[in-house]
Amino acid sequence: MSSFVTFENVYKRYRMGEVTITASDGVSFEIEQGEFAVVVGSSGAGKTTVLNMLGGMDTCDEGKILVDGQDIAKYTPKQLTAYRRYDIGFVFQFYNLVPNLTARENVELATQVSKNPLDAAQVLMDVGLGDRMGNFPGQLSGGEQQRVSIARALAKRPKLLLCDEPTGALDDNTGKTILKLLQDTCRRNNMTVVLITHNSAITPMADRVIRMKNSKVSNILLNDRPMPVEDIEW
Amino acid sequence: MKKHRSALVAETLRSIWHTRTRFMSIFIIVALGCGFFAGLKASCPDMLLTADQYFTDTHLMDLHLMSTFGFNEEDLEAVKGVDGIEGFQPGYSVDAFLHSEESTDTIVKVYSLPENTDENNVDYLNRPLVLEGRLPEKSGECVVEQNFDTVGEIKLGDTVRLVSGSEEDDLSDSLHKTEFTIVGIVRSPLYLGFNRGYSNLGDGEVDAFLMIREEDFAYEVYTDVYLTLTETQGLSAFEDAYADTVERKTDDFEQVAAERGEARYQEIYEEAQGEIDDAKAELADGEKERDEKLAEAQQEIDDAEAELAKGRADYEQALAEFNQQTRDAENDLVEGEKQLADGENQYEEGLAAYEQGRQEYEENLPAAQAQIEEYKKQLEELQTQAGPAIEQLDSAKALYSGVQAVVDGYAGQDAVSLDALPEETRQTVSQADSLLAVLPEGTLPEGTSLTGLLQQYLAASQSEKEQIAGEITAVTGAVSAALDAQDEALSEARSGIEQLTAGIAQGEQELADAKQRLDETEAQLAETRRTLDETDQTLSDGWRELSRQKQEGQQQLDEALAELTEGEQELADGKAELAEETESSAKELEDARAEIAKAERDLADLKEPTWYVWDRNNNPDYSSYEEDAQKVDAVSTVFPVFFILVAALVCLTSMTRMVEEQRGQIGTMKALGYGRGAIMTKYLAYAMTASLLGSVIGLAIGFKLFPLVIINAYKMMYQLPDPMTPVHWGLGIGCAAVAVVSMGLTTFFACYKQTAEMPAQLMRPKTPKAGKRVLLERIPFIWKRLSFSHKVTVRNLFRYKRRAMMTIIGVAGCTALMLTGFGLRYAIVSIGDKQYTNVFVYDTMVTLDDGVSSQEAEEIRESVQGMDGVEAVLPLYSRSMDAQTSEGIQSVSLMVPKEPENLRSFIDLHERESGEKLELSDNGVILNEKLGKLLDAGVGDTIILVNPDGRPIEATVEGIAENYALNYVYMTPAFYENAFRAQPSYTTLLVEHADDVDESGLTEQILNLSDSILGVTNTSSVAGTFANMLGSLNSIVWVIIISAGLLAMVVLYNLANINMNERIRELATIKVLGFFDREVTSYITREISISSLIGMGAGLVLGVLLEKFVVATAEVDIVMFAPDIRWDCFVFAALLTLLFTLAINLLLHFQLRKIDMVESLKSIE
Repeated sequence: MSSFVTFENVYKRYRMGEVTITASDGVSFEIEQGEFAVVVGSSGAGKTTVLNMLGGMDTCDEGKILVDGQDIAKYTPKQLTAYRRYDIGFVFQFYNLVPNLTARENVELATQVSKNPLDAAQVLMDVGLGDRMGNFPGQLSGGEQQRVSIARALAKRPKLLLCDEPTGALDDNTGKTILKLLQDTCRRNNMTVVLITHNSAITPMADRVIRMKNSKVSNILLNDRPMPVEDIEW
Repeated sequence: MKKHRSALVAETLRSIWHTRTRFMSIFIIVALGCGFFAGLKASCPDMLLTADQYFTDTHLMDLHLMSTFGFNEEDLEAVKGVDGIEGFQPGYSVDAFLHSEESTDTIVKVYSLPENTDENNVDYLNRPLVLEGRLPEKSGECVVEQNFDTVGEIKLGDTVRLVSGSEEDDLSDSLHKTEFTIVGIVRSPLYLGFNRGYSNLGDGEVDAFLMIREEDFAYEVYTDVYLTLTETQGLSAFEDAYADTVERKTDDFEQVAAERGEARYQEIYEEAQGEIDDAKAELADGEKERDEKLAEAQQEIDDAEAELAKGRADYEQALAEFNQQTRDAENDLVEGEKQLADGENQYEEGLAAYEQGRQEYEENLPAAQAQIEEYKKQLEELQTQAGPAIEQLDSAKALYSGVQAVVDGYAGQDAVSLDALPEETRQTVSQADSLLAVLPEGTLPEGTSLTGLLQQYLAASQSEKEQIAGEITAVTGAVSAALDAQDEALSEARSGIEQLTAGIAQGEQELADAKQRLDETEAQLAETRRTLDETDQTLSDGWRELSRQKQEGQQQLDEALAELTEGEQELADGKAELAEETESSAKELEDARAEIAKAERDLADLKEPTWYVWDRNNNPDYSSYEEDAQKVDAVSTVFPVFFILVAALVCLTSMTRMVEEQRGQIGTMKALGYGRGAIMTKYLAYAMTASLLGSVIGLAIGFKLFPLVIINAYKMMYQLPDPMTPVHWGLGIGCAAVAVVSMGLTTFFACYKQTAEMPAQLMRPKTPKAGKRVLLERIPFIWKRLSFSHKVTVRNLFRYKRRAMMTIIGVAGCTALMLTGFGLRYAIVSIGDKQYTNVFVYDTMVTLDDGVSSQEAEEIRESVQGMDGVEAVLPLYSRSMDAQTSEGIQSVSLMVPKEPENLRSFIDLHERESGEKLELSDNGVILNEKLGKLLDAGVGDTIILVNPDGRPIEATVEGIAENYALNYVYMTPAFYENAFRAQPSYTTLLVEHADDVDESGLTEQILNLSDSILGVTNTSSVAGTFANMLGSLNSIVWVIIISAGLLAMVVLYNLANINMNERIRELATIKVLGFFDREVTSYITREISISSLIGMGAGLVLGVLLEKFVVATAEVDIVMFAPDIRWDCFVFAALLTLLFTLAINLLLHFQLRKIDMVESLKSIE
């Protein structure tokens, strides 16, 4: 039985006019079920491309991407949509809440399209927003918005939670609470979480750290004793 | 600073390129608005200009003079004497039927073309426009027009014949020729529309005009005078100044008319009296001549009759003779045949006898011949025995006789020398001695020689002779005795010989005789045979000859009889002819008398000539053209309001969005030190460039396209040359200015607030507009029932109010315009249908000749009534006249049903809204609805009816009836008689037939009934014609519908595009959340769809109002458009709107699919 997530020699190339940019240059790594994995690297290191491919938002040109035994690299666009719909929870850097929907409705936006969703209100309560459910995103702070975003991702009961710089737009303390929420979710629900960040300070809290440089995986580090978020300083 | 500016310019240009879709949307909406508005607005002036230029180019008359007596030289001089005449053209005209190969019931107005058709001739007015071929160059050529009534009937190169409508008139008074070759197809400025005026021929309506050379007219005086006025040169025909001038000049010509009228009356009266006198004298001559001619003819007939009687007798006699002769000849022949048979029998008998005789002869012949042979043998034997003795004896006897003869002979002669003796004698002498042999020996002395004695005897002298003679006698005596003895001895033999010889001769003779007899009999029989054959031949010849003669004789007799019969027939014909001649000449004389009587009556009735001075408006098409042009103008002002409004909304949303998008950039520029003005200039420049370009292109197209489409559409109702579509600079610049300024203002408002903010603020992402609870959420009853995505939609609708409004207004405008379009189209197209199912419920209309007698009309009615499938027939009197009130004058059809009580089943007169049935009474008339409206006459009002003879009567309106096409006044026969003091002549039959009847069969049956039937029209075929006639409006309707569609597309697309771009992040997010393409599309298009539906609903309501307005504006005088809008118009308008919405949604769907999910990861700009 292979790992829950496996990247095997994945290549991704973009053609920009005359120039071909290789965004993923033979990327290979594995992530086990229930792990809190962090992909870290500087801007342009190719981590977003990995996230896109893993999230079913983009396809690779070469290689295998196995998620729970399925090679999503071979999926059709429609299958990819279904994959995103049922298997993936996504947390955006800028929360990407629909401004015209209340916190609860934003969660419902996701639960509506999933097969076996959690109760939206319950999830919001779980992320600590039990009393802000009826507020519109505009009426919430950044941290609160990100919580809504996480609630929205979790409500779908995804197999995989993908987070794209979830603390990027937040101040440190708020960022920490968010990271804590994610880590707790991972631990409590045995949820596999993949977090992408340029901030190496976050890495000690991860079970697995995948470092990327120049579109390649430069280093994979397994951390037997991840640090609780509260203890991390940056 | 300069550098800044150019950087700013470059930036502006670049942003135009980058946001070209947005730029195009402003550009297109402005182009549409400007083009539409200016184009429609220009249509009216262009229509008028086109017509006016046409009038000018063709030198259309300003005034048309007509006189009931025509114009003679003095009249013309008098007219010419009036000041201010620019062009002056006298001419002829006459109405006639045009007979071509295809048609005989076309009524044409025949005009003369002046001799001088040079372009520079100012007196050449009403110049026809040659469309095909050329103008007539010589006598016998004509040009005609082609219009709806004549299309297909006459064409270039055809020869047509002009025929007068009445029997007594053969057009020779008016025309020298009646056959004309069509050399050209023309159009005349005299007829702007398709109204060709009225005529007293046929159905009373002229169908077309025809122009021939002046020389082909036979009139003595001109019938028409056309004028142009100096003062109207350069004036537009549709200006007030033109109308004023023409009115003023009309008075001057009416003055001349009054003066000339009196003079002409005298002249004509005298002339006519003289003609009547001449005619009377001619009549008297004619009568006398007729009597003579008839007497002569009668004489001829009598002679012929006598001759024929004689011929008949001769024939009878010849026939009897012939029969007798034939019988005689036959008898003779029969007799001859009997004789022939007898002869034949005899011949057979004779032949039998002959055969028998022949047989007997043949049997006896051998025996007889044997007998003869026996005799012959005995004879031969005997002759052999006694023959020589007898011979000697005989010769001795001969010698003895000789000697005797010598002695006796020479007894008297002396001394005859021996030598002188004849030979015979000498021989006898010399042989004389042989005689002595018979003497037995010694009888005579020896030496006695008789020869010597004889010689002596001869030589002796006379004297001596006696002696010698004696001696001789002695000798001779002895000889003689001896001879006798011998003779005795030989006599038995001699007699045996004789007997035998005789026996032989007899036997032979008998045989020969028998043979001869047989031969003779045979010959006789042959002869008889021949005679019999000959007779037979003769008889057969006789029969043949008889038969031939019989035949010949019969033939001769037959010929004679035929000749005789022919003669008798000729005689009968002659008699009939005479009778006819007598009658016809009597009738001719009667006619002549009647004509003279009529002429005398006419002369008694002779009125002073009436002159008519008409301006162009005498043809109603001229004024209706102007009205139509103004209607287009009225319609044009309504539509563009939507476009301006929508254009402003499109611009506002687009620019607001643009400013929002470039928020950061604005902040940066502000931070860099650009002033607010400079920044706003960029956006103003952007919007105004788009509007300016849009308006220029829109105007360029609109100014050409719309007048072209509309004028061409009106060409179905008016005959116009190619449209003139000049650029209307004032209008164009005005339009462009309004567009640019309004777009500028809109842009100004859009970016005023934005640019006022501080740069720092600007450079930060704009706090997303907070979601808001909408009113609907306060009603949990509804809100809870809405599905989640519907809630989103509702919120969004309220969140982007401006955009929703734009959609609603745009779509409402679109729907309203389309409803108007379809409604107008229905209103037009349904006229025929409604007219012929609600009002004119009869099935067939039969038109009779005007000259038909009432009796014949009644007979035709009965025949039609009796036809299979015909249910009812109603005679109707119909004629064209004018109806008038202080509100105006309208040409109407007067309808007088013979039996008003039966009218209902043919023409259903009823009030439209209430459906109340209307009955005709003898006290007033019923008008149709449109006429009532035009004349502003309601029940109880009085209208004036003017018939073509000019006698006006008043009538009270008793009812207003539903009617759609043309204008009608209905009245009872009693009312008509009372009002017009005349009998209506029922020359129209309305026919109601069973539904299943074969209409074309019935039509043919009716047409074959009588020559007096001019035409049969079935309502089923007429119903569609109106729709065609009004097709001009139909195409305007399509312009409306298509423009409405364009409007909807631009608005919806623009909205959709903005919506999508603005929410691209949101859309990318929901894609990441795993929404399928379809769900993504419906997430965003639901909003558009709901706005559209609301807009559609509003549009349908608005459309009803708009349609009413447009229908009221566009209606022409002779037609009432259907005042309701049928359900399918709503359906079509709604469906098309939905279709446009769906199309946009579909387009959006494909664009949404292209959205990259990576957008969701980007930071907020």
